[in-house]
Amino acid sequence: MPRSIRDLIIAVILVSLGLIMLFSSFEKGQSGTFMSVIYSVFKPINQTVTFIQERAAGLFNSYLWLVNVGRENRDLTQEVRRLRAQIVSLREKELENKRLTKVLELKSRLDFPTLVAQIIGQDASGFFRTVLINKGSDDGVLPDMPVTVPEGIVGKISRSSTVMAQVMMITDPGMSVDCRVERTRDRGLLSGSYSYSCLLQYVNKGAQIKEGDLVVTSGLDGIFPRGLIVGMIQSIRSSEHGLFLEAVVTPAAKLSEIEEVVVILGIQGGFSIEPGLESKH
Amino acid sequence: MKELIFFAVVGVSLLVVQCCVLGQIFPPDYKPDLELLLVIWIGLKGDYVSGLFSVFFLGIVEDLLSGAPLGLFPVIYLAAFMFSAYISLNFDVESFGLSWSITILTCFISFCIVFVARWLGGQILFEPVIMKFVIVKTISTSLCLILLKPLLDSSWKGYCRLIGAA
Repeated sequence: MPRSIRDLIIAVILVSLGLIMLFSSFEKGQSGTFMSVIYSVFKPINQTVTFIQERAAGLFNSYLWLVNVGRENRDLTQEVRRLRAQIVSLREKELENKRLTKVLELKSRLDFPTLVAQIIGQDASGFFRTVLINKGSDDGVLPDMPVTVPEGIVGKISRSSTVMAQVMMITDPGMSVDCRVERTRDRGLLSGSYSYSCLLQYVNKGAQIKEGDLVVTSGLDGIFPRGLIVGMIQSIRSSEHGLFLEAVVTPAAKLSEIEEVVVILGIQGGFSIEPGLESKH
Repeated sequence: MKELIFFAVVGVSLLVVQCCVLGQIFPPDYKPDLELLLVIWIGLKGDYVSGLFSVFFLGIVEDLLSGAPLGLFPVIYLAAFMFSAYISLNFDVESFGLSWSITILTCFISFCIVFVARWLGGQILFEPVIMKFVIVKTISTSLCLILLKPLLDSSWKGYCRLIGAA
């Protein structure tokens, strides 16, 4: 067989394989062996890189302080170095302690079994707003489980392997959450947006919502339990065709700063809406 | 085989950098796609068959580590690879200007395809901000070529010396 024909056949086979995978990947679910293998390879690497980054940041800060201290008083350099390093270390521990205390408070507030996970990576491509966490199906983390932090919801599990899982954040345009405005009880569909962080759509035209109103989950999408904080209304406008109101919502959770998240373990893809968490805020 | 190993090791390393490091340096939405640069570099280098398999593999791994539906990045990367391989066959790609122009064009088209795919999947509406997103990401990615191309060239030469290949 001529080489050019062989090359062409390989290219056609691979492109077809890619297209078949693309068009057959609409069904979501727990991933197969290949994904587990890939995630198993990447988990230790990602964790190591994250660990090194944290340590490097600590060293960098210590170094800057040392330069300043050296200028002020060279005789006390050694002592100051030790104390400064200790302060950095303690400050890190204090911050971690505060974060974990808040997470524990949230865990006790929720009426569902939960699991704390650490964020170990961001979306590789940057086109999607997803993060990787260090817990997977071995820990009970399955697709469509809600993910939250004490300040508000983060998103839901979009993929999981045995050791790692991927969280699609509420700011991704592919994400939708059924919500209510807490004060007026009006319902709307919250989705991510490239222009704004989140957009609450299909709100009744006559709704008396206003800027600053709190948006909470309604529990009617079958994924998020009722009453979890989503964010705050930033601005309101009429929708394109004038039939509904639209509100730009700022997520309550600072999604770019979170380091640990709480995965709400429950029936995959569905919750009883009975518990209701509004009274526990 | 030696190419496959090199492409896989470099590709996985770049993915780790993309996942863990680039987000700290660039705004997460606009961080450069180093994997696409590698794909273009492989295409311009001219190792066709090993390139096809490596690019397909790297695309799948990128899909798994991003929110993309499985199969999106293999298709995009294969298209980008074949385009750059075609250019390398027909033009003198030694000049940095040409390889940079190819990179800009390939990045722009590839990034547009991602949004078209999401639009076709009903996930997004076309908003003006998307064009800004594509342009800024294209610029950030193609600027990275200035650093990455010499790095890849020298790594490849070093790797060939190490394994004793021509």
